[in-house]
Amino acid sequence: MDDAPQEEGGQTVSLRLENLVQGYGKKTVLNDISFEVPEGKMVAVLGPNGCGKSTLIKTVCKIIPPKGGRIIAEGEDISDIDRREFSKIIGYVPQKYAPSDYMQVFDAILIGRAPYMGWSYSDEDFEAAADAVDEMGIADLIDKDIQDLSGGQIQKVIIARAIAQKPRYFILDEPTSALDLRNQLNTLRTMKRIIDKQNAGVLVALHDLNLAMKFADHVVMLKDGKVFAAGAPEEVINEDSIMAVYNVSSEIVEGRGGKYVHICEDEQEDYDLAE
Amino acid sequence: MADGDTLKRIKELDSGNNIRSVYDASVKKKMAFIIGTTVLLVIMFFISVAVGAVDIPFMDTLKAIGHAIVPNLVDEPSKSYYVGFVKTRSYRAILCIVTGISLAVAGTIMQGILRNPLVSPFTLGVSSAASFGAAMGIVFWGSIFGSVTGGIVLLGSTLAYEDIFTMILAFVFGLVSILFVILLSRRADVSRSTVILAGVIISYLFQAGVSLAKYLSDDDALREITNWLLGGMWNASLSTDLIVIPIVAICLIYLEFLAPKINVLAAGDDVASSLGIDVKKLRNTGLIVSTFMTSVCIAFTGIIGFVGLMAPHLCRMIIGNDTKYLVPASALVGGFIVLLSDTVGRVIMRPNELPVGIFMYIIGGIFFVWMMLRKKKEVRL
Repeated sequence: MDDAPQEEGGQTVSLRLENLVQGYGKKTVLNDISFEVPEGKMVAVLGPNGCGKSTLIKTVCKIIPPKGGRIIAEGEDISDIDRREFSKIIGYVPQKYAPSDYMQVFDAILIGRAPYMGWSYSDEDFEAAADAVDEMGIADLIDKDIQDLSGGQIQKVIIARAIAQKPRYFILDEPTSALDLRNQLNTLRTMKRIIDKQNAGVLVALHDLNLAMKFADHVVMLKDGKVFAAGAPEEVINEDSIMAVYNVSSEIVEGRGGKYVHICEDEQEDYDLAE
Repeated sequence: MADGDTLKRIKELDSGNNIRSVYDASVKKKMAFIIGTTVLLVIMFFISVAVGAVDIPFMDTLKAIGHAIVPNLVDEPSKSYYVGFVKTRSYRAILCIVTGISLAVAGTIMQGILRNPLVSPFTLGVSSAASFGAAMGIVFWGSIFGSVTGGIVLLGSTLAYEDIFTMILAFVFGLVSILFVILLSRRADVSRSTVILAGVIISYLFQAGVSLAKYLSDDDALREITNWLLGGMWNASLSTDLIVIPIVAICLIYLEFLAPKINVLAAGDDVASSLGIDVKKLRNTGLIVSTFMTSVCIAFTGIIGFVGLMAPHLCRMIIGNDTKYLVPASALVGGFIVLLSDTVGRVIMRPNELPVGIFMYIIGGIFFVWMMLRKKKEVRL
């Protein structure tokens, strides 16, 4: 990354991955990954299917312990942080919401207070949940059953839960993949708003290069489990990197409000349908 | 901050703050259901004590119970032999309630932990393992301790050594089954489908063992095994109640204490883990404690099916999936169902008795047929 870590009273305020190695069995999925997510910034992880984006997200969220390297949050190795304390630092928004969940929206949001709650919810818990509901603008949904909601509404509920959790960093695994255009934009706009309001850091795995170009402050492009390129979106996302990582020819065009990736289908010979 | 109050007012008016009132309203509904079922259970208790081979007038039932508790305030019932009936029937009714509670709560917890509404002590193999233990006890008692007779006298009631042997084996095998399930599913991480699959496999293995025991046993033993498999409250006495009540009470409190964490599990393993829950530990302790609780009860009563499935289902349909309220609600409903089944079983062919299990299967079967046909509000987890 081109940004130096922000020092604040000698303590690094960022989420930092140092030479992270991850794998299942003998297979190495992530190899020597290093980058950081500063507070108040959105970092997007890009890469084709199977390049290890989800694995990376789950490792950062301490769902899978790393095979090597370290992840530093709030100046401490995350494997040394108590499970409950860690859940106050990192909020995880999964890629898929298990569709079998049967509960009402307010219950689903209040679950985000788990790191703080005892046997019952406190005033503070209700306040945080109410703030999250306001933030996502889903007041009219709170007494609905989750199974009656649309995909976009469910996504809002999951993000509201993460907001109620009040973490320092939000880690999102392809939050836009199941959404229509408008909801894709809304989701990322919301995350931007939260970054500004709470000075939170956001790490988001994305498929859509244009969304990354538009919203991300930094971009990390993965290829075969390694960092292929990292930096500002306009620098990282270019014709060469898209060809090298996705095996797709493209053209970066100047449009209204910035640069856009235009996919050129004509030169495409074979579609790599791995996975 | 002069405008602090104004800000607060604005916030209260804000629709987002509704979340508290919506939550409170849902809690009220849940509490109403819990209070309602408590009343029903108390009424059922009195009915159960009053009816049987000899019916006791309702006022005399109340008097007999009242006199036993506060002799100075309540007169004796009109006929002194009522006291004996009331006593034995009360012990039996209490065993029914406690058994119902333990099976229903175990079902609720197992369903919540594995996020599958079809899980119960039955599907996880606890019941068939306990049956296997009991069958082994019945078949081998003669050949191992054939000459030993008599029993322990505990609080005025006698427990035969043979029965104790059977109970202990049933209890131990019930617990062993869940340990097998946990060990089997440990290798494949904590995926809930592996846990359920392991339970089904264990269940079949022990069923094979029960069949073998039946095949090898003589007529007397076969009859005893069949009785055990049907389940019944014949062993009810003050001493069984006093063994079962504290164990179930402690397990119940512990599981209620786990309830908020089990609620978090509903968001999925990964999310729960990111919310600070040790998923594996929660799953294992929940399974072990609820199995312990059921094993103790079915060791005395034999197999009692369907409650572990039916009571939680019914409650989920009415009050939703909040485990905190589901545990007490399904406990009460479970106690009610077993007590009702046993009472009907005692009355329907009097002076003979129908084992509680048979009636339970009948109402359980009808219940699930009704649920399938109804299909209006699907119960999911």
